[in-house]
This record gives sequence, C-alpha cells and structure tokens, in this order.
Amino acid sequence: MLFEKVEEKDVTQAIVGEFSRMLSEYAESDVIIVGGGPAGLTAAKELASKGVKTLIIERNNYLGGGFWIGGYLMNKVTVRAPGEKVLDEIGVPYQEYVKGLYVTDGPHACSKLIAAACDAGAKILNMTKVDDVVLREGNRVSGVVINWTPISALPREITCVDPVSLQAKVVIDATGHDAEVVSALVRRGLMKVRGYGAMWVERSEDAVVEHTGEAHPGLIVAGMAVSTVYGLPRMGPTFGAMLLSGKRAAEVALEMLEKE
Amino acid sequence: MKIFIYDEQGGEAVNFQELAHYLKEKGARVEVRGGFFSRFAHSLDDVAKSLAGMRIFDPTRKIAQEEPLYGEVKYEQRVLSSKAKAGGVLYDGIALQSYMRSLLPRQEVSLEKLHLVITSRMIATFDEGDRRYHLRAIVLGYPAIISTSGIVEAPAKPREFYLQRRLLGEDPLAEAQLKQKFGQKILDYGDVRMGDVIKGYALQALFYQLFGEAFCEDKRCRLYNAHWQEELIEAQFSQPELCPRHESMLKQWKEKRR
Repeated sequence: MLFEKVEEKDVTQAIVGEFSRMLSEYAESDVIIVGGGPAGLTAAKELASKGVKTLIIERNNYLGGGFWIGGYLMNKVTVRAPGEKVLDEIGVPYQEYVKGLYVTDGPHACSKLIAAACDAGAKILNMTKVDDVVLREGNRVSGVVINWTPISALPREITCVDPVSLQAKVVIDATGHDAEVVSALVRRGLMKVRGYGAMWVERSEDAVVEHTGEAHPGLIVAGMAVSTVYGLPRMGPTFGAMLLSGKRAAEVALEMLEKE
Repeated sequence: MKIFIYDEQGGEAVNFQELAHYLKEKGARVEVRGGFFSRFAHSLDDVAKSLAGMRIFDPTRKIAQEEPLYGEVKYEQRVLSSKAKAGGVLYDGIALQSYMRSLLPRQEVSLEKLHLVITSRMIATFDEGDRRYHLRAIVLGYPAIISTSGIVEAPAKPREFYLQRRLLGEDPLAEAQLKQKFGQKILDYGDVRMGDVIKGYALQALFYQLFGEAFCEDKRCRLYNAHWQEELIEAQFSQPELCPRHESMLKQWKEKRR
C-alpha cells in the first residue's frame, strides 16, 4: 500500500477539529476582510505579514475573485504602473506591453497572491457569506454576522439556520461592486452610497486608491466596493487599482489598530 | 497690486517661484504662500466637511445641501493632510470660491490684493442656460481659482480624439494610448508646458482684477478664452504674448504705479 492506513473518523476529526480550532481562535480577529479578490488578498498579505491577526471571509469556494482572468474570459491580466510593484513582491513575472502597462498570466498572478496571503498567515473562511454587521457604541462596526453561503440560496421558509457572529477591531469590505458589508449598513439606515457619478474615466483607478479608507467608523472599503460607495466610474479590465487599494486599506487598518 | 499665490495641492507640475517671477515682471508685487486652507481655516476638519459637501454627482443637477458621507469627509481629511492626492472628484467651483472667500480675514480683502489659488482639484460651474455643469480651468473672482486638472480636461481636445475614443470605448488604457497618439496637440497631466499655460490663466485673473476684463478676442493673445486645447496652446505660446491693446493696458498700469 502506498498510503498510510487511516480510519474515516480520523479524516473527519482532522477536518472538524482543525476547522473548529481555527474558527474559535478567529472568532475575535484584529481585522476581518470580507471578499477574497485581489484587493482583499493584498490587504490580507500586508496585514498578516505585520503580525496582524487577519481573517478573510469569502462567499465562494475559491479565492481570487476576478483576478484569474482579464477581459472577455481571457486569462491575461493587466496592471498599470505602479501596480507591477505588487507583482514584483509576490514574484510574478510580467512583460511591459506598452509604456506603463504590464501584462501577466492570470492563473500565475492569482495563485501567487493567494499563496502570499496564506504564507503571511492570513486565515480563510470559504463558502461564507456576510449577513449583517456587529455594531458597538456610536454604531462602530465591530464584526460581522456570517452564515454558510448555501443557506442564502435556500427559500427563507425552509431555512431557519441562525447565523453566528465574529468580532474584529477593523472590518474591510472588499466585496467588489456588491459592497456587501456597506449594504448591511445601508439596510440599517446607517450609511448611504452614491452609485455612479459625474467623474472622469482616466482618473478612475487613482480615485479608487485615493478613496480607499474608513467609510464608516470601524469599516474600511477597498477595491471596487470603493467605486460603489463613492460613485466612481467603472474601469477597464486592469487590476493595478485593486492591488494598490488593498495595500492602502492595510495601511489605514494599521493606523486604526494603532489608535485602538 | 499685490498677488498672493496659494499652493492648494497644486501638483508637482507647477513651479510657483517661476510663476511669481513672471507676475513680478508684469509689475505686481507677489508673495507665494503655502496652502490656502492651512493658512486661513481654524479647523481642517471643518474644511474637509465643507469640501465633501461640494461634490458634484450629477452634471445636470445643481449640488444640494446634504450631509456628506463619513468616508467622503475622511477622504478630504487625508487629502488635506497630504496622505492622499486629490483626484477623481468634481467640485462645484462657485461653492469652493465662496467658501474660500468666507475664510479670508477682513484685512486680506482689498481690490489691491489678488488671491490666486492653484489647485489640482477638478472644478465645474453650473450654467443656468443649458442647466448643466461645465468643467473649468479657472474660476475668476475673489479668490481666483486655477485648476491644473481643469486645464487638462476643460478645454476640449481635438474632435478626432473624441471620435476615436468613442470607437475604443471609455477605457483608461485606450485613452492613454490615444493621448500618446495626439502628443503635443493636447495637454496632459504632468505636461512640461503646464507652468507656462498657468501663467496665461494667472494673467487673466490679474486683468480681471485690474480692469474687470479677463478675456481677449484675439486668438494669439494670452488672454484668449480658449475652448479647445489647440487654441489654448496657440494662445499661450504665441509671440508677442499679448495683443497690442492688452499690452498697452498693462504698460499704462505699470507706468501709473511708478
């Protein structure tokens, strides 16, 4: 026999035991990042590498969001300078296509970014959806209410599976255009979003990075969620802003943690 | 006449000392000051809140008095403390000017004093005629505000630029390639010609303050109110820089001062 003899119960106990241990430990995190796309992963890598207890919540069973492919389902992804510096950091080769525009393989870049976040020590909850937010004094966001993703797909009449809550000093919404954490605050009447506004396209990437920050006490928005909150325009299939927005979100989170 | 120049996130393309030197040559006394808000506002948090309330979201609707978002105020705080760059936001230029005017202390307000604020913030003013906002490179008045991003975006680029952009779609990458293609015909961010173009707008502000007349009909005069970038470039780089009438007005003013 090639493999060691292991009983079925051992496999089950290994999965349940380790998952439970991790979930229990991260029921209170320094930072919870909702959304495991390029912005969320970059933020996670930055924070975890500085010793910040970081948990990523991802509604799908895979991480990476749209970073696996570029436009039109083609798996070459582009970044505009200075976004290539993040590719350098995670060791992804790329080539300069025209001045200031770099192109790389989506699967390579995405898998390396996931690995970088994991290597740095970030933990991940897959197939998990944020239902609501945990609020404290002054309506400060202090955590998220989560449930399994499949629960949300079932008719409400036949599901009465209560969610559980996780606490964090800082929450980052990196859920893309859906801005799921922000939406929870909007539903409660605690926040407004702008939708698309009168701004100019060329500056859309800059604007996303520069607007990355605390959007509500305790809550940072990063990536395309920034666009939803502040009414910034859509941008082309290029990822530099997502990577740099993730970095900026980590910087802001560190400032907030220092103040705590 | 004394001109006070303020660097309100004017951007790296602006050489304030060179601009001051140019205006001194025209006969004014000039002082380069730092940021307008850091000089006159009691609280930068108040400034951040006010700026956040001047954002334009719909070019066909005049801004309304509504509470800005928490994150919008935070963004302005970061920009004011130089932790973020101003970009991607459109502000009501009249609201901005009026707010700045309200911050000027009484002793700073005089027809003998021109306050000239240079900012990279994008500004627009609402035209009651066609009921929509229009981007502006300059808002004349008290203080006069020159927008470096407005200089790039407000005067229209060649017609072919827009036709080709329409074909390529509103994609920043395509836009960058188009800009390379049009090269010197258009002004871009960080353009080395920006410093000289700003001199022309500063001159418009000075003429407006001195004579109540900022513009000239002559396309080769620096005071020409260009609506196209090609016209702007021609007006700013033609020699002599002013038409005979405006040259003479400036000369007379200079002589009177002596």
